[in-house]
Amino acid sequence: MFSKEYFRYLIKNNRFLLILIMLITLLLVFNDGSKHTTFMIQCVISFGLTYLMPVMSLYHVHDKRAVDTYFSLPVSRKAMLVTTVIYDILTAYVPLLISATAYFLSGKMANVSLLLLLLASLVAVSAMVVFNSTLYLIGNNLVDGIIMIGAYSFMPLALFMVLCSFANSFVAGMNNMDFVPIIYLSPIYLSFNMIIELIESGILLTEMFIELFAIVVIFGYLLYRSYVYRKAERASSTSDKFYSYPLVINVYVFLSLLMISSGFDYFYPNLFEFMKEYFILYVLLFAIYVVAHFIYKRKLSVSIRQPIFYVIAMIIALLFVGLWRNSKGFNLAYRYHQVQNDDTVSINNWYDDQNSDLISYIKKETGSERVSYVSVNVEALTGGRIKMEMSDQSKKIFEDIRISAVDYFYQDNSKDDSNTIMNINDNDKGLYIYHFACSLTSDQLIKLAKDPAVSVMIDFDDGRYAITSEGKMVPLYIQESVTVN
Amino acid sequence: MLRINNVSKSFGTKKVLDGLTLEIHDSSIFGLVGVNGAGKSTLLRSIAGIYKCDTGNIEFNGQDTYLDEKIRKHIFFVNDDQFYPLAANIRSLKEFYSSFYEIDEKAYSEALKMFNLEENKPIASFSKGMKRQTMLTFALAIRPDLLLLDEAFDGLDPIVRMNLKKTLYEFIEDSNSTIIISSHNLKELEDICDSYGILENGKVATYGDLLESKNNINKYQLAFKGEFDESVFDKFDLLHKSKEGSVYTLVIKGDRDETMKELEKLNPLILDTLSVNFEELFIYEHEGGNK
Repeated sequence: MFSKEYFRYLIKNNRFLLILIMLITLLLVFNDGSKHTTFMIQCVISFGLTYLMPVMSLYHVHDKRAVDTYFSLPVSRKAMLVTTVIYDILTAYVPLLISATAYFLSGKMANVSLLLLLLASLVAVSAMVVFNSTLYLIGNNLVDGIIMIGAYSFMPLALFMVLCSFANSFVAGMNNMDFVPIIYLSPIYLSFNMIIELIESGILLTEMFIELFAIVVIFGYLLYRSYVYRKAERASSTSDKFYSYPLVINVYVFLSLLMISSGFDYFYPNLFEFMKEYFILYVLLFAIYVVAHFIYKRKLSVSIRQPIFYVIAMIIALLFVGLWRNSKGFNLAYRYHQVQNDDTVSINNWYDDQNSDLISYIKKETGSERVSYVSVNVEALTGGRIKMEMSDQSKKIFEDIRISAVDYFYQDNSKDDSNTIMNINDNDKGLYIYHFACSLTSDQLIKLAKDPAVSVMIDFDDGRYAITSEGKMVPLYIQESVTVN
Repeated sequence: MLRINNVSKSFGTKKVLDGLTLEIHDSSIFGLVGVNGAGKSTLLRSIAGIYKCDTGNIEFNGQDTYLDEKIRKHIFFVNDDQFYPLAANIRSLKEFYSSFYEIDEKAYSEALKMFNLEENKPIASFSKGMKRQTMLTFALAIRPDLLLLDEAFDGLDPIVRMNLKKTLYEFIEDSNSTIIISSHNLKELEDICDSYGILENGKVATYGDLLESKNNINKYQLAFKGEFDESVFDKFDLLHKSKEGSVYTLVIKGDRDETMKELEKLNPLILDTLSVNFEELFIYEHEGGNK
């Protein structure tokens, strides 16, 4: 399973690189800067090596001539792979091991268990090497191998960005892009987060450790299959396996089409106007699609299948937008979040409808004749230093207002008469922002004002007033009258 | 002994080797010939354990060359376009090969001297012929039991070619090894090979002892008086027939004396016989195969 001869050769052949890595490691160890920072720099170098080493040491499978030499050697492929992977892991890991040990012995990282740090680093480096090696072998030549590492490493992020963008465009209230899930989709994010957390707090994030370990096992198996059963004749040929360029190009093009098609929401349901506006983008993306095929085939090959696929993908993307919109974001806006008792809620509502119930209420309460412009500010002060919870009645009023905001979001976009912003800050899920049109009624405001957790304030020409729990308006600030002669 | 059992190998939809069966005995220099794309390099790569056969297997001394890496210690493959690591020189290449094979220092030094190669010079600066000589140096220094040479004589000047042939002869005599050489240069092969195989459509069209085969195929020149019915030639195993004036040139497979007797019965004005060289043998076998 392990070839000592090959390992010895790898070390001998790469001695200059190994010496350089060791020199950099020692320079960092004896550096005067913050130990956490220098250890993180060491992590960046080591994680960088987890990309470089597979590219160098597995190069032979991508070169027609090299594959003849290596695969005819009296070493089994299994032994050659195991030896190469161990060599790659050690090249990236030993500098981390030296740094961690040196910092630990100097007492600069006393809050961290050295054994835990070494174990976590080993699993992280192994996961990265195995993951990158597997991606590298998807291609059939050096350039394609590197492209595959980049394309597959970035794919979860791209997918996530498109989903977030879609959610933000089509789910009322969703305005924030939460990058937390992406950490779990990428070994590099996982590795960095796990190590940073470990050296900063001394705590090992077990779920990340387990996931990285799972990557070692799963991708280790895939790498084994990919190398040991690899056909030598694949070397230097086009990377035409389903999971190489064909999948990568089509996934990225479809994600891009979804991004472009999300603009259809604004023009919905006027498809013609949308196409007129976005035509250039579609043409540009098709040109990129053709260029991607050129990189794939290494020749300009425009076949009828490409535009047909492109148009079909375009239609699917537009249908998806239509479906998403008609189903009101697959009903996510109604289901995903509801107002909770401990949410922080604020509403700003302006209007000047002289016939409204609220203006009548203001005139009656204040005796003011001049109520030309009103700004209502409602806040559920649950997020302050003193923990408060709003009443169920307040919660219901806020939720009713939120539902009307969601309904407004899915109305015709061309009618923009919004006069209200509602912010809901959920402690777990983050901030939701709704822009919509509504007229808060005096009844709603009086009921809300009865709740000690909610403050209701009204600004109008005369100044600022608060509504008391008895439903009375009391002045907070009176605007001095200005007499114009 | 090298035994190739019913080997097939395809690249996509193209079948390159199609149920090929062949046996090559020890201590022989086997010339592997065939037109371009006949599958010579594919066969050599399959023997070297680089390609996995779609069907069948290849055994050397009873061990599968693809599955058993230990037997590959006794096999060395020199392809037509060899790989050299970046910035490699002969010395660093020696480090590489000595990690996997036992290198005979004396043979190594002699080969370097014969090819007039400098150990420390970067291989990237070598000409194609020098690169070929570098690999042949290792082939001779490793002294494998089975040496596979793909287009061995390409890029070598006549003196080096002559020296190489002499060295290969000596190598066979000393070591009881087998050499398989593929080449388009049939004249060179004729000088060195004792047996041969012609690949055609993924199969071995003909193979055997070179001298025996050459004796078995002869060229005859005949002339007849007046009109002559050519259908009488049909009873011969005719590989080639041409006519210039009244002189027929026939290439006939079969015993020379018996064929002469049969031809004499046709009462020719002239009857002469010429032996064929390896190149003609290949061409006529190829023509015969295509008929």
